[in-house]
Amino acid sequence: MKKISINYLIILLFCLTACGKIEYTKMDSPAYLRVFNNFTYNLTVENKNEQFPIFTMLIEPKFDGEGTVTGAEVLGDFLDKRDYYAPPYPSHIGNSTSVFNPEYPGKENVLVGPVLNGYDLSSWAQVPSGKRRVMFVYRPKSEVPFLQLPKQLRSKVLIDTVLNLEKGEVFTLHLLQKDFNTRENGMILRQEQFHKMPLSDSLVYVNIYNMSSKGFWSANAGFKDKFERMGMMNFGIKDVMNVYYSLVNYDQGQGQWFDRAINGHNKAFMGTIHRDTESGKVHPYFSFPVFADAGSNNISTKIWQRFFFLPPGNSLENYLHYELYNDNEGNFAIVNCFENGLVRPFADWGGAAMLPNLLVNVHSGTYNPRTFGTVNTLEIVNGKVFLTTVQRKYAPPVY
Amino acid sequence: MMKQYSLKFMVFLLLVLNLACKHERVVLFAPNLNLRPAGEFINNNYEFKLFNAALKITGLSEVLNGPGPFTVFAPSDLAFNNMGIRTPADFQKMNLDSLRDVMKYHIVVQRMSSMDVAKKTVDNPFNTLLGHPVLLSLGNDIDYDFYINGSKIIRKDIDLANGTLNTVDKVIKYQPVTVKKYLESQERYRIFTAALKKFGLLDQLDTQGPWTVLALPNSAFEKLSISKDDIEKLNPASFKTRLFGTYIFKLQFFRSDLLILTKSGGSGGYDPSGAAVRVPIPGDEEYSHGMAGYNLFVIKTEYGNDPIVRETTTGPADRIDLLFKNGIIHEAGELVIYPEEAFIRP
Repeated sequence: MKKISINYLIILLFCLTACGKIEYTKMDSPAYLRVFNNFTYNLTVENKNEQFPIFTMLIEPKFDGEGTVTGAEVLGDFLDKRDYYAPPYPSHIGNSTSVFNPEYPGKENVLVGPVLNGYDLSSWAQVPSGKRRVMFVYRPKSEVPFLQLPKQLRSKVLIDTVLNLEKGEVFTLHLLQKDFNTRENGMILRQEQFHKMPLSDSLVYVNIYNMSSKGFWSANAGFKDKFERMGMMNFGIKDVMNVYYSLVNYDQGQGQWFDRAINGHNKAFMGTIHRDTESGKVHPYFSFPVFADAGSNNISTKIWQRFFFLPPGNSLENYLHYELYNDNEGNFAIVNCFENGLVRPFADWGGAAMLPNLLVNVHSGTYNPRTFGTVNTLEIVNGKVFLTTVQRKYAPPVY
Repeated sequence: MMKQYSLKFMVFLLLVLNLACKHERVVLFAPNLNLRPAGEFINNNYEFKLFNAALKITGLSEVLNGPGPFTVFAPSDLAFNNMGIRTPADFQKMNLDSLRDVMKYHIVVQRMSSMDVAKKTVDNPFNTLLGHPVLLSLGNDIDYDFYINGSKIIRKDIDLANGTLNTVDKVIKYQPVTVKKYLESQERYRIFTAALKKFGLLDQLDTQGPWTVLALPNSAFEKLSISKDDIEKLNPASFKTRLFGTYIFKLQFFRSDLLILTKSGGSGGYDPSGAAVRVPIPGDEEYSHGMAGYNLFVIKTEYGNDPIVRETTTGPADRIDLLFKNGIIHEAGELVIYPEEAFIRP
């Protein structure tokens, strides 16, 4: 008797839970894709016939009889202008309640990449691999989801193309403006290589792209939007620029703050960058040690980085007295990667662009903080500079 | 005993199974069935006496009492008064067909609310009974910066049985002629039209554009004692294009657009990053023209903010935001470039 009633209870339990069905999402042979919207322009009366640059990404879109989009295999909505910093893991999810997404996948609740060769790809979405039709459609800046918008607002297409997304490869897709004067738009699909390269974890890697539109730096300064945190970079840089870097330690000594460049890493030549809005070629990675300071404890460091941009044939010394904010007509710009990118270092008087430190300081193992080297990409787009950081998987904290 | 027990369980189980997948539909807000249709609402509202009269004369009142849905942009009596219409009898003197077209242009053929327009956007088209869309614009604040064809929407989203109703402060018009045709038909712009013709600028206003023309009334020329004959005597070859090119923009903007699509920062009202519009004058790129606030100005292209050559106001209210097939006309106050300033010295 007792046994039977228990059986009935079990059946009852099954009945009560009968409607809860869990479908696990799975993607066979995915490629990994991350999308940035690099448009920097605002709408004004002069260009109001253009669309505001906020998009919906559609992979393998479906259409109704009239040619209006009714769905897609992968749909990335609310793709807003990108943020200055694209962190190594999608922290947007926990930090924001707005629907506007600074990158794809960003806040989207989709399958993301695994740890590949030690690199955390949780900022890359899994997308179906192979030759895929990819569309980017303009949408209004409202909180209405794309498929619920009126039909006429779903038909302004930025790009409609077929991309070959190879299985297991890591791609970064950039939407950008190719020409500042004709307002020609386009995109770059970059097949990332960092996970295939023998990169050391005791070095920090950075590669730099200039994806500014043609004619931006030479345009009248009045036509460029100014952002306080971008300093001299607001005015753009010339098409070919040499890059120098400094590693700077800072501390409080003799009653005041000081910034001290590390010997051997003081205004050192790094390489040359060319403006390019056409090719998806990966630029070479420059590197410097994580613990460059001779007196370092090799566990954590506060060292920060400066990057100097100036045209070939010029000496850096000729420009350093222009460190104040002014229009150098594309000849000089500085980027400071200091702390969280929201404060200016002591040595900066407003001329440099502000970005977060390339070194990641985080509680790991028994050390709090512990410093990790990263793989970084600096992208200069018109008057703005963006930082993307990729981090290796690290040991969890021990409390 | 045993059997009884299991039967009870079976009944209980059936009950549970019956309930398990059922989701009751909960209605939180029942629709209000006591709302009146648009035509009735306007008929019963003293603020729309003249609008109601116009709808009745043109037979649109019955249409508005139909199933809809409609969104009505109703001009208040004050808006009609500003046009010189004071009593319902004044409508009798008007051409019924053109009055009907004007009224049809105030009725959008869908139920829309202010929520359908995104913030900081202009030119959101909504189709009307006339067949030509009205353009809605919204700034930052829906209570203060909400416009239809450049006219302010004063009250918004009044619910009706067959749609919604909004109040506007001006009668909006769409005239299916080109900017050129309109300028030629107006005695008020006789000297200005003659000047554009003389300098070869008038014919382009027949093309698609879109154009915005800051039209100068005859009084602006008379103030400088320039007559039509003086214009006819000028030799276009010895003047820079800016003399009259200043007043023509190859853009389309209502005056309200200048307040909504502002630029970020800038070092002053005339600076390219401060003025809502500032573009080089086509054919005479040495000088730029633009709009600072509501004012038209001319400045040398190489200068940032000053010195400007001259600026002038736009208005009055019933002579701005006039929409045509290929553009918009606003009336400007005065000349901003005098003939001697555009003269090419030999």
